[in-house]
Amino acid sequence: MGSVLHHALFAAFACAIAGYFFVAGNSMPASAGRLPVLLSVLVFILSGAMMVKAVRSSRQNSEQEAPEAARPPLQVTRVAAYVALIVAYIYCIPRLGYFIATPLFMLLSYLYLRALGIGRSLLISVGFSLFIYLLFVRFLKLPIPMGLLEPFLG
Amino acid sequence: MIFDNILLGLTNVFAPLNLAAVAFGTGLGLLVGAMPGLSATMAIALLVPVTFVMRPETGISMLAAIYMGAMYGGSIAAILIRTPGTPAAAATVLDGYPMAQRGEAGRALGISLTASFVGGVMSSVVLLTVAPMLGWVAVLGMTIIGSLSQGSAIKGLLAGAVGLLLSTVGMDPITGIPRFTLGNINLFSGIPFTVALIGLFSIPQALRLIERDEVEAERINSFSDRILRPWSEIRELLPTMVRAGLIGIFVGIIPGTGGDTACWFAYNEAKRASDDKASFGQGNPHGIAAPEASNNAVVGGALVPTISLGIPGSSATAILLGGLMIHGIMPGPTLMTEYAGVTYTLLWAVLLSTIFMFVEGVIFTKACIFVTAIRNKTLSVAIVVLCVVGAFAINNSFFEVGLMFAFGILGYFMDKLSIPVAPLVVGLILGGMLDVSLHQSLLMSQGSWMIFLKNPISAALLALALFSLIQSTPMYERWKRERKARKEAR
Repeated sequence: MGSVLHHALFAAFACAIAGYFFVAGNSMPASAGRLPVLLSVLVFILSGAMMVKAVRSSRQNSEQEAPEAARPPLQVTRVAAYVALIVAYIYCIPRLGYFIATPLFMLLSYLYLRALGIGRSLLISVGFSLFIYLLFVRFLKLPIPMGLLEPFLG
Repeated sequence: MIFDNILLGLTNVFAPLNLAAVAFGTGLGLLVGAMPGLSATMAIALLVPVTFVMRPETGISMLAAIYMGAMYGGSIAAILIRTPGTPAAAATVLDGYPMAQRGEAGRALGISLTASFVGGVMSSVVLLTVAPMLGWVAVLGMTIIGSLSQGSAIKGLLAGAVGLLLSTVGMDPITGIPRFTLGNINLFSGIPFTVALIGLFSIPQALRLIERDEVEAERINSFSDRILRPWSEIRELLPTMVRAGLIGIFVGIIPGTGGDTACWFAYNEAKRASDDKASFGQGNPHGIAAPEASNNAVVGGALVPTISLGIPGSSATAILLGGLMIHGIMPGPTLMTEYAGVTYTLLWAVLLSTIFMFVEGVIFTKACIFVTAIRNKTLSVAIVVLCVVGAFAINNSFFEVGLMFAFGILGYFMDKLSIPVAPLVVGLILGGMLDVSLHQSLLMSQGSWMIFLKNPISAALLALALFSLIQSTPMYERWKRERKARKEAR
């Protein structure tokens, strides 16, 4: 049942996108809106077909009751918190500068995920940021925003 | 003309920069493949922005070399820690780890390396000699995608349709009016597919690596037996390697199937052909040679439809296609004519990378053991950092970094529902061409859709597409099941 719900949510999402393209496409000149309108109809049909298949599979699976493989459980809170951390990281880069935001993000992530101790977290965060600096700024000449480190790294 | 192009490619590939790029790419592929948390597809997606500063043939050759190296690299983790480094090494676990457990890890790795070399050489030779002719096999191969592809065809079609739909965002190429941009100037030039590519392939992997607690893998931390195997041992395995290589080439040619399909196909055939079936799964050398030869053969095979028709043979070649387009090289039959210099350099680079893979594998496999010990959570954070800087590197835009992450979240949910992301990427890449071609065709026919049926090539391709669609319907699946039951009843 959970799987059917997840498929339904995705189908609804796909239909919402297709709906926007369908409505907006119909208000455009024919040559501009033709393909998007056709494709949105296709997305509607395929979303419906996916739902039908999901319901059928769900009925077959509930009849067979296949045993689930033993795996550690999905940590939804951890994933949500990590996603929030990444969003905050992307938000902070233009404001603090890439080479402040990045080691900070890496350090906080390693500590939150308990991937490494504080010493190794610091070492890897700084070391990896240095590697990015050498590869992307020095070698590839990418204009990465330096933010607060602008006077020092230029 | 073809011979001239082959010679041109051979000359180009030995330029010092191209040699260095292939050697580096192969080594990087070895490392990436050895890490269970990274895949060749993801590594190629992350490195596409790095190729901006290189010449097209150099950058694309490096990416292809990563693909080749990773196919062997995946077996290192499979053999030593019972976890495939790449999906294409899944079958190698079955016999590779048991052989390593009885103290023959070096032997297992040596068989894997030699088989990878044989498979890679076979597909490189095919690529160099008969690629344009084999393009039509790819078209025919689409009729059996339904039988060979894993997962639901409906989901693949849905992902492809969504990708095509998203490709219409931006300025309409015909009228010049902005479409579906929500008034945001950053979307006027459309959704850069490299941004979507990085997000769809890398962010879901980064989240997958932390979503569950890590299970401590049983591991072999060192080995003392030789990787370089005696000729007598290799001679006995050669028929298996050649058969598996042919399987890999064939599977690679079929669009949408890759190393993960080929390795099982080859393993099962090797078992079927063996007189000692019971020993498979207990450390049988043929059980290592078959999947490894086939997954490296897939590299060349997958490049056949990519180069000759502009239809990617696998997820990794879909990204390579994107990489070519970034350098202004349009996919399709003109790759072998207008861009022959780049294309034939790439083909030779694939052969060269096989040789580098063998040499670097002999020297560096022991050193690769350390990368199998890197924890998933450590890798995940590094992947996110690389994704952000890679997405920024494309157009120096933070809007695109946000877009990359949005695609990443979309990719994560698609992954949870077993909806393949590769078709979405292919739709994004090819959607623009479809838009222009559709408009041109309807202009030629003065608005009549019958032009697609009157033209024989178009009609044939539409028929193939319809056949592929029919294969995904429940009625077809029911018919297949009934046919199988009737066969078994006889």
